[in-house]
Amino acid sequence: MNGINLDLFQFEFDLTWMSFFMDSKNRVYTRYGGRDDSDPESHLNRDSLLATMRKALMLHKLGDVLKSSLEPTGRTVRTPEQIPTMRAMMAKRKNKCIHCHDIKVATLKHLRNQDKLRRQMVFTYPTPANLGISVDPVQQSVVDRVRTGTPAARAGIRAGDRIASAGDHRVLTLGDFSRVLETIPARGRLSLELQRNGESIRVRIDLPNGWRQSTDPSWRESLHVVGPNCGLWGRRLNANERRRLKVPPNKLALKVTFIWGPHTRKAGIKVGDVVVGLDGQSHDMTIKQFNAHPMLRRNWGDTIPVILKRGNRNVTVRMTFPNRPSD
Amino acid sequence: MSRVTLLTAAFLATTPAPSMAQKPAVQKIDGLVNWVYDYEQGRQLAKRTGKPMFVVFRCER
Repeated sequence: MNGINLDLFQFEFDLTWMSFFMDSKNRVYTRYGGRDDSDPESHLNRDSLLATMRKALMLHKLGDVLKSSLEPTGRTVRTPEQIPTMRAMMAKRKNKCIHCHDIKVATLKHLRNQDKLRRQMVFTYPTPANLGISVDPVQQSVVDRVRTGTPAARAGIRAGDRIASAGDHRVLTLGDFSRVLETIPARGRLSLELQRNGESIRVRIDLPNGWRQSTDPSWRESLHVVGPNCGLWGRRLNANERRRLKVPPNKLALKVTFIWGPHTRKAGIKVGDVVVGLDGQSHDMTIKQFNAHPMLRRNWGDTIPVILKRGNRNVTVRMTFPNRPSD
Repeated sequence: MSRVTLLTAAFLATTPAPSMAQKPAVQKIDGLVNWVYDYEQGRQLAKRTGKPMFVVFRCER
């Protein structure tokens, strides 16, 4: 991302892949990319890319670019190198390559230095799943499923509906929808134009408090800026190991394989320990979900209980997070 | 030629590359697509040829 104009290319920087179909005047036809919480490639596939390419070619013939006032123009130039915290981050990096996630990390660190950082800022570029809408991985403007009890279900959206526009902005892909969701206010309503059985209908989704937050943001690289981590890496026990230690399949069982946090060592946690409880939580978690727990729910300087299995013994230790981030 | 190649050939495929003083070396992609590794170059080419651009950001390291 070195030297890229961030006023033109705005997207979810926690992603590892994103694309734009554009004309030579910096105008966008459609965006292709994005993911759900469970899978980085949930909506990246050959068929949907081909379909998007076909549509982009057609739009190019018609000169039908996205005309919303929310579309970036790129008239002013703002590069990743201009983010004040980026210099310190790159000083430690040999190849000086600025990754997508570095932009978000540097931005959040800058806000943190100014005492303006809020945890919810990590939830950028929400997907329609946040409103209860699952879009088809191939035909990405078609509603695949609507979760019951969600804002989308209350608005009357149904599986099979084709989303023509959101907030009066054209939607062809998950990337387009996500861009619209990024630009709308945290509270209020979102108007959708749908095609259902050959008819055009309009629905309104009430946006509830906190709708931007998803249930499992542990994949987000930028998460480590907003809160403390457990300072360890580990792996889930397999079925045999669980049986031996009498840990049910739905319960937490992470074998510590690496410790980097001084606070973790100070708490007495050792490589080889099996963590079965963290801060009152004992449900099954991946190592990323495990580290995300304090990042999202605890503050620097907090102390939390950690329950370990060490051999046949259960050991409870208390881990105190550093008083402030290390950088 | 496969359909993917045909369709891709209709676009100018660009992966934005560094344009600032401290440039990491571009890691080029093998394959059938002739990628342009500089956005501004791609934009000028799009202007000359009248083709749309397919601009890709990817993690290469």
